[in-house]
Amino acid sequence: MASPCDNCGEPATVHLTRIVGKEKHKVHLCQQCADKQDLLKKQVLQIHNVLHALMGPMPLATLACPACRIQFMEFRNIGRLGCPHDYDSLRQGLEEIIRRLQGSRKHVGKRPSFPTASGEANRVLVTLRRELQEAIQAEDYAQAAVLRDQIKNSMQTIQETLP
Amino acid sequence: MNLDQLATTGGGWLSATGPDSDIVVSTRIRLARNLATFPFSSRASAHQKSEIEQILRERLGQIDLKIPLEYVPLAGLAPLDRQFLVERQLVSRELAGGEGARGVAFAPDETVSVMVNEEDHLRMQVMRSGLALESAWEAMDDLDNRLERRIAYAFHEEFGYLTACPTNVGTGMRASIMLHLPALEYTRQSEQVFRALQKIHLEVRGLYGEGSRASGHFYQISNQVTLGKNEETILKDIQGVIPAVIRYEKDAREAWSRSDQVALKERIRRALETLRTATMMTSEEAMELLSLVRLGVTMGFVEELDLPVLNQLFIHTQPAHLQKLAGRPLDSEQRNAARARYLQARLEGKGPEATGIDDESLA
Repeated sequence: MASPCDNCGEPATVHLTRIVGKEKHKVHLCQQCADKQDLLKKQVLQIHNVLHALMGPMPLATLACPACRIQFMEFRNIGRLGCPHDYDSLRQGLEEIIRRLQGSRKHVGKRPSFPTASGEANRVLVTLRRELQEAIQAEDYAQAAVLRDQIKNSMQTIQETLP
Repeated sequence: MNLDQLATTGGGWLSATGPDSDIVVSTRIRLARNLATFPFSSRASAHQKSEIEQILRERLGQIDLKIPLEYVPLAGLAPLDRQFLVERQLVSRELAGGEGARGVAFAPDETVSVMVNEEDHLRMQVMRSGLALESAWEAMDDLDNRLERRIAYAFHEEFGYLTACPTNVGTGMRASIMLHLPALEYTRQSEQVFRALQKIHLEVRGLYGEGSRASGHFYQISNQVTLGKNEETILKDIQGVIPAVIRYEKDAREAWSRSDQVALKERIRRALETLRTATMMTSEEAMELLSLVRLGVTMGFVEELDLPVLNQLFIHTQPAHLQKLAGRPLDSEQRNAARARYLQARLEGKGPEATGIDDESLA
């Protein structure tokens, strides 16, 4: 069902209807060609404003990372992510930003020369570290001790993946 | 490490020994890397930042390099010393002005530096004199390979090396060439060249990076994109345009020299005269005049000076360097006097340690 981009033939993701006088004209473009014509930026701004006015904040406003607890909107304000896991947990909002900044969404360069720990194991550790900070702040030292042990064990597993 | 001693030395990348070093001052490649199991530095608690520093400091000490790195914690360092490291290009302004556990490991010859707890947990850089992307990348890649055997990096199958800001994600690599482009600047052609570079996604910044003015007519050209291209391609893209920029600058110099050689020589001669005789000099004025003299040296109009000394003077006349050389804090008026005296002595051929700005008469 995806119609090809009018410009380059890649699958189109931007579909516009241009009305000039009484003539209606459909335009199909891929993201890259739409960018080149500066169509999407204007469009996104308008859609965002209209939606914002009609329905209140976009769903992105509720997007947050379960590991480090940063909210997507917080990232938008400060321009720094909270933890590596955000690339998955905030993906819905991040993808568009990455594409706009980088013109691509796929890494093709260097990679670690041996298998690294899974994203899941890393996510658990970021979470445990946050919970430890929270326990210390709440002066719950029993809980803090438990968390410290958990972190230590999980770290050992991760260290073992290194050569 | 004794920072006071560094104040009288050059920094390997200032040596003007590399290829095309009349116009290309230096090549720098940096990689951003993060630990997989910690929050990024800006979201880490004070305690977590200490933990990150401790882990990285230890690992950095374990790797076997030809020239071992020395670690300098920034938390306990005086503001003047931190500023000194910024002027030296060993740390960023962000790291110097930051807070909490953070630091820098660097080789005494200053060709390698690794910042800890900057925006990313690790910001490693390799510096070279002249245009030397290939050799800089070789050294950078090697350091990265050695570290990855000891550190579980945050890496994502799709997005590559994960960074605190998505502008660096993917390769995490920024390659940057510092050029001296006075003729393009004076003949008002620089804007045009930079606009063309920006169109092909290269970034142009001043001497001290983001937001800094192009003082002394130094410009850094670097890649904007870090995702979707591999390191070799990114480096090739930059390598591809630098010869053109060098040619524009050379053409501008030749055209200027052809149309107005008498006036150009006079301007350079006066710049040198002012540097030799002034008793007060601001940093901006020094940069401007040194830039003209550097142009004169590379065009063969000034024969009594060489590039390594001139390259050094741009750095040594910065505020923190002057105060290090003087051995005490100086206010801005004292600095202007110290700067003038320092320049006088160096241009007479004296070494940095024999410039007499450490005596009390400046007070």
